[in-house]
Amino acid sequence: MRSSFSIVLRAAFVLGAAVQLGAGAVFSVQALRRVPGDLSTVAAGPAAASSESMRALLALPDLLASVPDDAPVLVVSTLAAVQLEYFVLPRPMLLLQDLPQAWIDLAQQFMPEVVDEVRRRRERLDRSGRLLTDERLVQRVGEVGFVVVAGPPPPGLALVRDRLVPRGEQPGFALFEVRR
Amino acid sequence: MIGTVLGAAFCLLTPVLAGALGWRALGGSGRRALDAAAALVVGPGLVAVQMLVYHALGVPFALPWLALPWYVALGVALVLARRRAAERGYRAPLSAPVLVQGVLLVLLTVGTAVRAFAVPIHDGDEVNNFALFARVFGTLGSLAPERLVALNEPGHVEYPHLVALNQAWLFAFDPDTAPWTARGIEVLALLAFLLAAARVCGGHGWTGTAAFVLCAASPAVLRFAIGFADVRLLATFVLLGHAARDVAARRDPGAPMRLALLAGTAALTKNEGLAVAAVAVAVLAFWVARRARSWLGVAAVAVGAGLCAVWPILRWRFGLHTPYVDHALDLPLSLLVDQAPRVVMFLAGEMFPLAPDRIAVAGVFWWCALPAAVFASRAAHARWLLLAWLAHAGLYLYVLGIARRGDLDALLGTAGPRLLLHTMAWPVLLLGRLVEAGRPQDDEGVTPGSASGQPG
Repeated sequence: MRSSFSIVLRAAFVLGAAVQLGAGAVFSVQALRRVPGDLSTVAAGPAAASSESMRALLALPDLLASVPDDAPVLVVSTLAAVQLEYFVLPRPMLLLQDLPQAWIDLAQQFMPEVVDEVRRRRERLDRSGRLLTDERLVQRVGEVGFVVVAGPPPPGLALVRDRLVPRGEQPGFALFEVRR
Repeated sequence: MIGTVLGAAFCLLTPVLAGALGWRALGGSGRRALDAAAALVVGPGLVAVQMLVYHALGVPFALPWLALPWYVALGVALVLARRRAAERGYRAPLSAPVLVQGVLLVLLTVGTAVRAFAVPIHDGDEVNNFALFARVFGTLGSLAPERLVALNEPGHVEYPHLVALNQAWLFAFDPDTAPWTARGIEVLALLAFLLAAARVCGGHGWTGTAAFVLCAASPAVLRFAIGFADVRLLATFVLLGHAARDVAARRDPGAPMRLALLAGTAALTKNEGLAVAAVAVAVLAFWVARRARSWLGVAAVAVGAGLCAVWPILRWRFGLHTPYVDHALDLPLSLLVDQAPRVVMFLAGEMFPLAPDRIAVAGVFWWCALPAAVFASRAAHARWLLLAWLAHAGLYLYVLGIARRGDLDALLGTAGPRLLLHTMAWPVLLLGRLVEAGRPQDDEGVTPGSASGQPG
C-alpha cells in the first residue's frame, strides 16, 4: 500500500488541511466573538439577559434565596420553553405550564417543522396535569408553600391572588408565599 | 474565587486520575498520547460506575467518599511505580511536526475552554440532558430515582448519565458555581479527541500532521465541543477502534479488558454509544470464543456486557421512560424506504459542503478523508474499519429513516450533524493506517521500550 500512497494523496491532504485550518480558524474566531456579548449580559444581570433561560439563571437564585431547600415550590410559567426546574432544584417543584392553542397556530405559521412536537408537548402536559388551567392553579396553590410566576402573569392568577403574599420580584419573575 | 477554581479542578481531575490508574492497571497502550486520551475518556466512565455502585450500597455522593478510593489507589500505584521505574524506556525526541501538532492542540483546547467557561450552563440540550440531572445527583447526593421520575418535562430522562454523574461532583462541591465550571468535562473530552487523533494520525511526519489538522481543526468537531457529549463519544469510538486492533493483534493479555472498558464507557455516555458498544462486546465475545479463549477474555466480555446492561436495567427498574422513543418500535419499514433518500441527501450535504459559509461550519474533513479512507481500506487488515464505518452509518441511517413523519426535518437539523460526527471515528482510524503505511519504519513515534515494543 505504501508504494501507492501517491503524491496526489499527499497533496490532497495538505490542501485539505490548509482549508480545514482556515475553516477552523474562522469558526473559532466567530465563536469567540460571541463570548464578550454573553459576558456583558452576565455582568449586567437579569434585566439585560439575552434569553429567558439566562434571565432565570441570573434572577432565580437571589429570588429563591429565602425559600428553604425542602419547601415545595409551584412554578406557574407562561414562558415558552425554559427548563425552570434546573434553576429551582433542589426544591421539589410543581409545574403549571401555559401552552395555549394560539402558540400552536403561531408555530404552524412560522416554524411548521416543530408543530407536531409542540402539539404532543401540550398533550403530555395535559395528561400529566401540568397544563395550566384555572382549576389546576387553584388546587396546586393549596399544596405548596411558595409560588413563582415566570413570565407575564396569567389571567387565572387573579383567582388565587388574595392567598399570595409578594416576597420578591426580578425582571420576568415574581415570588409569592402562600398565606395559610 | 481561588477556592472555587481549586475545588473545580479537584472535581474535574480526580476522574482523570481514576482513568489513568485504571488504564495503567490494564497495561495501557504503551503510547503516551493514547494513554492520556484513554485516561480522559475512561476516567469518567469508572467514576460513573463507582457512583452507580455507591447508589446500590446507599453511600451518599459526598466528595470525600467519591474521591477517597482513587487517592488510595494512587498511593498504592506510587509505591508500585518505584519498583517499575527502571523498566521505563526512552522518550522519542521532539520533532517539528509534533511541535506543530502540540501547538494546534493547545490553541484549540484553550480556545474551547474560553468559550466553555465564559457563559454558564443555562439552556438547551446541556440542561435537559446533563446539568438538570447533575444538579439532582449532586445536591440530593444520590441517583434519587423518585426525583428523576417526578421531573417536569425533563427532556431525555432515558439518557445514560456518565456526563451528568461526573458533573454532579461540581454541583456537590458548590451548586452556585457549578453552572460556570461544569463544562470543564467537555473541554477534557475535546482534549481526549485531539490527543487520540494526534497519536492515531499524527506521528512525526508532515503528512501525518496534515491528517491531524484535518481531524482536529474541523468545525464539525469544534461546534459540538461545548454543550454536547458527542465529541466525548467520538473520542471513545476512536480509542475503541484502536483497542480492537490491539485485541486482534493479541498485543497483550489486558487488551480485551481495555476494549471492554471503552465499550462500557461508550454505553454509559449516550444511547448511540450503547448501540455501538453492544455490537463491540458481541464481536469481542465471538472473537474470544473462536480465536482467543482465555479466562481474561471471558472476564472482559462479562465486564463489557455488564457495563452495557447496567443503565438499561436501572432505567427499567426506576420506571424511567421518555416520550421521544415511546413509539420507536411501532413504525413500519415503508417509512424507512420513504424517508431514507431525504436522510442521505441531508447527510451528503453535511459531509461535502461546497459553499464557503457551509465549509465554515462543516469543514472539509469528509472531502479528503473519505476517498483516502476508502483507498486505505484496500489493505486487508484495514477493511474491517471500513466495514465498521458502513455498519455504524447504516445503523444511524435506519434510526433517522424511521423518525415519525413530520419530525424528520427537525431531527435531521438537531441530531444529523452530531450523528455524522460519531462516524468520523472510523475514517480517522483509516487515515491513521494510510499515514502509517506511507511513512518510514523509524518514523513510527513508538518508544522502543514501551509496553510491548511492537509498533503501533
